[in-house]
Amino acid sequence: MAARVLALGLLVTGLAGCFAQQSYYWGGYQTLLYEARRGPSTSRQQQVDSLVRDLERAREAGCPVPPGVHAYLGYLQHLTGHDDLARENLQLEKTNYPESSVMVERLLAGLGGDGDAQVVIDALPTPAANGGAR
Amino acid sequence: MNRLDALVAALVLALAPACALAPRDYTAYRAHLPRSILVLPPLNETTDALASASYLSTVTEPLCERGYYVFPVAVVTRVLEQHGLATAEAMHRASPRVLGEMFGADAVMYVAVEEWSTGFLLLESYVQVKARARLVDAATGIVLWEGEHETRWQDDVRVGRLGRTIARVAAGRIVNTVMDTLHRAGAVNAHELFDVDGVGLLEGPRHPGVQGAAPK
Repeated sequence: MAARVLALGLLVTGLAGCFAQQSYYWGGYQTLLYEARRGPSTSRQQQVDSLVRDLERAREAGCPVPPGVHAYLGYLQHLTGHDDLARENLQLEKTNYPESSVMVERLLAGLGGDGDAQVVIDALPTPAANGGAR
Repeated sequence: MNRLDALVAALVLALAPACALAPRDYTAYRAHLPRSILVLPPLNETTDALASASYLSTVTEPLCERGYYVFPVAVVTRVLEQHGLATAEAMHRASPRVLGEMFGADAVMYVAVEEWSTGFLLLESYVQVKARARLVDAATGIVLWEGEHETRWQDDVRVGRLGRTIARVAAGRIVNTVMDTLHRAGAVNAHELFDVDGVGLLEGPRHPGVQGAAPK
């Protein structure tokens, strides 16, 4: 019983945690990441709409949006044919997170390609077969 | 199976301390504290094809909460595939320096999912997730940190909700529930692997506790 109360308290705190600790608003971002690889049950547009709603809620709550969310939304908007919105969100990623500048500039340069997901980063030497993990 | 029971189970049962692969010497790590981390798709050393994708989707949160910029994993994966790195193995073999330069990343995180299963032991059902990870400085290739962690939830099949769920799954039903349970266990594992003081990652530049942290 005590454990349940503790757990419930933590759950509530978790929801309120963004407000208390100025931590990030996560929403459904990680769920969408999983679905993207597992095989989504929702369409890309639905995923876009879901992220846009999360951004709204984050704004209303005054909580910061986590790294990568704007960039991922921009990428999805490119895939759904809205390069103007894609550019907007990629720029927001770069503004909020200067660490993303190199990636964002290259993704922006790649926009305008046709077909599916032709978001190309500038040609670099093909990663050599050395180093890396175990 | 509700979220509350899973949380209770996690709190009450999954308190095993993280184990390190090497003694905790944070000297090199402090000398090369990264601002940004590029997480590659994990190696999958399990028999469940979904383990890698499931785990990858849960690492962003603990790494960000620890105080790092994490590149959007779905975009990273797609870009690497477009550059001819079709599998996690190929991505792990690539030079960290080149990967770092592609994205402007300070460090690369290599993850491997070692165990990802549910099952029975006598009258106990269990959920088990084990993963290891290594953080490498992109420019120099220096290993900054390594860790390994196992998360195990157990429950009595006769009594507990988790136990009865696993039992029903073993009978061939409710596959989605098992996937969801493993996914949650993976998320808890990722937190315990990365985001625990003393054995996990150092607090990154964006962590509120770090002096001169960048505003969120």
